[in-house]
Amino acid sequence: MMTLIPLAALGAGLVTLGAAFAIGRLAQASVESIARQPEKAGDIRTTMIIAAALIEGFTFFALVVCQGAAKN
Amino acid sequence: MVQPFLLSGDISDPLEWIRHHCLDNIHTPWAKITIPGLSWAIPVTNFSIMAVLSGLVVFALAYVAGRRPAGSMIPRGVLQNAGESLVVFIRDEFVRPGMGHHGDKYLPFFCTLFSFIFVTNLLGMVPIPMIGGTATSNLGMTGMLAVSVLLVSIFGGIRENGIGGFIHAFIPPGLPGWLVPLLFVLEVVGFFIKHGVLAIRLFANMIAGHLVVGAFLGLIFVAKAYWVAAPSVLLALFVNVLELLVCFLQAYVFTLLASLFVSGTVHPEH
Repeated sequence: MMTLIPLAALGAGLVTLGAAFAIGRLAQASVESIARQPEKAGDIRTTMIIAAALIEGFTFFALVVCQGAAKN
Repeated sequence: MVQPFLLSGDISDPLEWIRHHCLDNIHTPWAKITIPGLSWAIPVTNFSIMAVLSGLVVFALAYVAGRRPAGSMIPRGVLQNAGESLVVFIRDEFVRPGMGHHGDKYLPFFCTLFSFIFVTNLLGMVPIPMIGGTATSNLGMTGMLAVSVLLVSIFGGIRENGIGGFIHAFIPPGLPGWLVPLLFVLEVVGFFIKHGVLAIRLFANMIAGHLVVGAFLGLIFVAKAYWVAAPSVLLALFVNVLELLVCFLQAYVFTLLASLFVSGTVHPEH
């Protein structure tokens, strides 16, 4: 049977690429808005953490799927 | 002192002493609790010991922080003031923005959730010989935490809004009629998925940090060279310090998202 490990590793890489891009964009946008309106820094930070955590959870879900594929 | 411990594990696997830290020793339990009438035994692993230990630590700290002379609301001493600021932090950051003053009866749940996850994460950073481990880096542990959040959001929603109101909360307001059945199914599935991802996020974050530390230290054993050792140890130290931040951040994120989910059913949009 063909091993799925290379495909799983590729999938993990792709997932990380997408998540890093997404969180990077998110951090860019929130840093810019904090620089523009420093008095809103607290609200923006909380919203950023929520969005980052959602992206991250999605990413980890995909990574767990990749790990499961690699075990088979 | 350290030498016998380092050599005590499987010598062919130099990472054993870091791996036992991240992975549950479910196949080599320390003891088994047998219950009469049950055909299977409950294995006592390092993770279950650490979970009970952190529960006891949280209970002891909360007991001392919550004790006060009769009739007095003024906290005394470092621990009581720290406890008060923790509770006020959780109330003003998580509970009140989503649920308003009605949410105050859910405050003890979120305080317990936050302090238990935080203490468990931090105890996982302490290298305790033989029993040490991050109990939150086990999917069963985080799964049970997520199930408790799920139960609070289901029963809290039913208690506040009744069964009809709880089901009505799954229909987003302002929809055209033909979209309602489709979105209702999506919202119900999404409700369970977002609680499941809550568990996976905490589990994966806590296990990933230890695996990165293990990978950096493993470079030494792979290369077997002195010039690799110094940067490896420095990088492992850096990741370890980063882990301390992640310990707090994951407890914060877990409690924040849990309060968002609970407020989504307790105080839905309408």
